[in-house]
Amino acid sequence: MSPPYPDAPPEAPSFEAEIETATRYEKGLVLKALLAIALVAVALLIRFYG
Amino acid sequence: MAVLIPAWNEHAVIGASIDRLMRLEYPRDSLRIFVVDDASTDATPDVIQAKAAQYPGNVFHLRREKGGEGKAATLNHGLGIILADDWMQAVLIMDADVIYEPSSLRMMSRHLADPVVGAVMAYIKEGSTPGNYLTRFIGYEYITAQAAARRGQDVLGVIACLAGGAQLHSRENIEAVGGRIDTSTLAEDTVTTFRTQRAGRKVVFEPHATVWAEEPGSVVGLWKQRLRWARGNVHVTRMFRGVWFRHQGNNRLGSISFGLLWFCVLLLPVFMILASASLVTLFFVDNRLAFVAFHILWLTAVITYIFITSFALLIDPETGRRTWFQAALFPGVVNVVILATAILPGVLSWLGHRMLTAAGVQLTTGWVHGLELFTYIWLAACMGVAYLGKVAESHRFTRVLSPALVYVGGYGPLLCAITTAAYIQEFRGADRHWDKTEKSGKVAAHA
Repeated sequence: MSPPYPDAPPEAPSFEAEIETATRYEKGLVLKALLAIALVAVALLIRFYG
Repeated sequence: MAVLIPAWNEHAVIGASIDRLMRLEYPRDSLRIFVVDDASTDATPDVIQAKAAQYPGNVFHLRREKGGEGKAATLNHGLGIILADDWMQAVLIMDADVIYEPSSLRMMSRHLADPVVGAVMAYIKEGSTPGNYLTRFIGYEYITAQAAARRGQDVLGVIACLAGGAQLHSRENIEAVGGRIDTSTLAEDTVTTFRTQRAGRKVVFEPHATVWAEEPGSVVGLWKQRLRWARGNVHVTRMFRGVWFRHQGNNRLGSISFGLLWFCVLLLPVFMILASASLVTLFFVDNRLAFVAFHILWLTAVITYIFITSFALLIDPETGRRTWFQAALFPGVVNVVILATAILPGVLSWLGHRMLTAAGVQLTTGWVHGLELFTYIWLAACMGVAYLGKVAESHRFTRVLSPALVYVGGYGPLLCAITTAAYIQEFRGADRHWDKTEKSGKVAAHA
């Protein structure tokens, strides 16, 4: 496991762990975007069928 | 890593910023901080010298005896000195008030391992403590303008502007853009961003590198700052007129998607005025057609509003918890009511009818037409009401009304009013002098 930067203290997160956390967050944005689209869909359903 | 900080009368903020930089998760022997003191007249030189003594070999005080030539000239003074020494491989350009999260710089600098990347920007968050309604509006705006929009631009492969408070350049990039910052414009950051990409290098947004900045807490201060930005953008549009919608081999500045993105923001006030004028004209020509057009327009606006607001709050929930109220009222109270009418026309007209009947008002056709006409005009008039928020704040007796006028007119329309003022000033050829935004150290709590 490589340190996140040269001379990092032992308690610092590893580079791989940090990248994995960031990647997980970015992938999670897809779900958040879908949630926002679902809200739009609910609003339109209310408008046309409510 | 050289850190370049332009500073003019920054004694309230510069000490905390340097302390925070020295606590970055970054090898200290690879970090040199150069503060270019632009002939400050307050205690800024004393603070910098004290920090230089506290951190020998890491902090350097560069004094300009003749100042007031603007941020770009101040930066160029520092760049000239830094570039003369081949020690520097990358330069972080930042503002004196910006507070860096410990991991931010290393997260940004990683991108420079790719030689195609010329510059990297961090996610700037509004961090005034205590804040007020306006800083919360800005806090929400920065989620949409940075965390959301810059991510989108990253996907498109083109960035509109490196934020002045947190931009990292490789040495090769700074040298490729001429080793200096453009002094002819009020949007020197945007010019550097465009030149970087035109030179064939990528500009990257690193959303996980967070920095905190103090933004204006008054409408007058916001107006001054954003007028400078908006005038700069009008100038840049003309300066790079050969770029728009023209395919270039080594960058995507000329892509259709980026052109649409740029001009949709720049011309938003024009679209609002044209939409309003068209609806009013249509109202007198064909009342029913005007109503249909209005309804389609506002239904589109509702879809955009719900998506942008909910997604932005989900992107940065921490900022969202502080700013959800301003997020909801970003378009202004009246516009939000109109948006609600577009979604729930039956419920709201029933409610309106009940309220008017209770008030003893007989709802006639004249009333309905008057209300329709008002909503069509409001599309442009909201900018005027938001502008009144600035006017009211400038006078002692009306200052208390300013927040209410911004809420009613809308923060978004306020930004559009500023862009309109920028068109007028650029059209008149008004003097392009640098009007600095005052900082008081309200982000020091993050240090």
